[in-house]
Amino acid sequence: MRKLRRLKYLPIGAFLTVYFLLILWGWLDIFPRQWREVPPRTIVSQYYPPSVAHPLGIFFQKDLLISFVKSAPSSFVAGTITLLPFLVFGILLGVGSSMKQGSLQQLCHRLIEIMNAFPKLVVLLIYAALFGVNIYSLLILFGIISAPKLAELIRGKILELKREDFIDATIALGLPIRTIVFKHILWYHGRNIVASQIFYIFAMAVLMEASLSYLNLGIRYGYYSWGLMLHYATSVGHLSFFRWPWHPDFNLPAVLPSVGLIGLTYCLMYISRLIQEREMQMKGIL
Amino acid sequence: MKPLLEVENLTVAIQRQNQLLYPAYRVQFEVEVGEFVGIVGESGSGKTVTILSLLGLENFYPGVIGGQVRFRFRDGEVSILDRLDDFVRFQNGMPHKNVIGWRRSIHRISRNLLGRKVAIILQDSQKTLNPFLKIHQHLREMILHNVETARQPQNPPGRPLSLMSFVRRQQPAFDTPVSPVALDAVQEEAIRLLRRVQFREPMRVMNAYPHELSGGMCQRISIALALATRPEFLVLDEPTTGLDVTLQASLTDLLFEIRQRESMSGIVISHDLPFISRITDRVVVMFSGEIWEIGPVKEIMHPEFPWKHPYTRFLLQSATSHQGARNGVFVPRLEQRKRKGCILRAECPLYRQVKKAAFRKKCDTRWPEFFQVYPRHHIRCWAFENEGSVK
Repeated sequence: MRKLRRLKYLPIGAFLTVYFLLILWGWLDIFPRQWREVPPRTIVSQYYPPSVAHPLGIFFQKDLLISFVKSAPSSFVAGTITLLPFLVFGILLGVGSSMKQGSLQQLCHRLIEIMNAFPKLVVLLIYAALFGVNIYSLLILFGIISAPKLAELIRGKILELKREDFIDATIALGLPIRTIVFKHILWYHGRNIVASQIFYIFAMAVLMEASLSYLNLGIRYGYYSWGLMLHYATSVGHLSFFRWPWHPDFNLPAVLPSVGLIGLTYCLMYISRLIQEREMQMKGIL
Repeated sequence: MKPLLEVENLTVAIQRQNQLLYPAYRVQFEVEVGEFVGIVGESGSGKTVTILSLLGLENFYPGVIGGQVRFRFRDGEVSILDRLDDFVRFQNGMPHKNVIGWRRSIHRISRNLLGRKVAIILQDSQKTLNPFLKIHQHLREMILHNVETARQPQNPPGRPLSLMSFVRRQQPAFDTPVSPVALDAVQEEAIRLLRRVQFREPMRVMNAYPHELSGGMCQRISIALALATRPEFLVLDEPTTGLDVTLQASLTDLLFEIRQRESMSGIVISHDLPFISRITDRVVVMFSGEIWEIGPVKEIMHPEFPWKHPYTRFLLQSATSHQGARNGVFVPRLEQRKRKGCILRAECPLYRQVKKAAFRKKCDTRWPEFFQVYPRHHIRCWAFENEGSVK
């Protein structure tokens, strides 16, 4: 029974292994020469069906398998870029809003409320409309406007632990407040929350990058992105030869990344949930 | 010789809607150098609030609203409540306190005291240790913190920190990297501290989490942590609570031995009267946020000593038998501060027994004063007016 329970982690582990292998492969940029050799673009056909030389076919003079592999690092970079502002703002807002009443605490509270009030995608679209399309700045903005979720969880954790006897004892023994907050509360007690939110926001960032690229607001043509692949798959799918039988506008190999995206986000969110469950178990034991 | 700690008219209030409650009202006592003072009284009498307030650790509104607390350490004097008047103003009898400014001000002073010259051991030690840290991590943190604070210059009391000195003082939130040689020294110091609090196998204890240790062991770990700061003044808040009698006895012996060897001063709060009589030199009896009797432990705890406050007598009787409980219960009345007369007269056996009209009239109309009944022994009761001179 225990072995069976362990088996449930197998697909997640396998999926993440494949993802990281894809990232590595994409970064190393090692592909067979025949995959790189593509026929010249013609007006009649921009899509070539799968063949021995090109396992997923060719689309807009790019081998789809190469595009698929080289999009993996893009998603990873997108996730990483989002993480940094998310963590910095989330932790600062969380700590600031859990301080004793004062102007800084009020400011942090209002910021969290304001940031929660607006839908994230709308904010990103307005930003893109005002300042132009730049995927890096959009992802940084996405990290910042997602920070209130982490801030609220951190605030809850700090307020929960604030009245604990061991925090009183550390204050009484003269440890500095920053050590108590960052080490005793956030590192020893709140790291599970932060870790679960890291996985969650990483998944969301990958999805957001794909969504923005799909809307043609993210990664532009000439670079690699799963969202961009989907964009072309849907927009010019009807021109292609290899189609879904029930939805001829979709290009089957180009839709492949969507399956990858769903799997990846599911895996990351499942890990986030596992961490939360583990924390609950630890609470029960301790 | 001037006392190490001097508390004058310390008044602490809690605001409940439009009503003020006083968990400590005009509390006044001293602790001499090398002396341990015990504070006894029932739950809710204001013992812990008094101690936390005089170190700036109270966390309710408005907190301290009056008084003066002065520490005289070997290297200088520290006044805790000097700038209190800047932050408290009274309107229609109600205090209005700028809590943020006050906390900032008191924090500047108390961070030079806590973990440097004053150490506090709180009750229920199993809860006062971080459950995620092993014992050696606790000890390592305190030893390294102590080394760091010893290196830092002290902030002059009452003077705000300049920006540059603040920046210079900032240490990383996590443990600073320490060389292996220094780590060996830290470990040696940790082992020394654990041996100091009578652990025979310190290495086994160092690798344990707090929940793997018994209550008595955790209490001894807390004492070791407090000793790591090498304090001049030790505050023990109900150290024997929750321990069985054998552990209480061993802990009492340990604290007595530490007290003798380190020649520290301190305050002990406890309900455990035998423990208080063993550890302390003088005893303060509190009830309803006020001190009712203060005197040498031998006199107060001695059953045959003739001059005792009725409440002290009741407390001692309750500890030894059920006699005190049968004679009635002293009910704390924090809200009756404005009423005239002694608040204890309803339950006071002296008030009921003595038929003198003049004495009863005083109890009914006037707040009792302190009367000296013996050298360094004062009682707040009109019944002792003629026993000695007014303080």
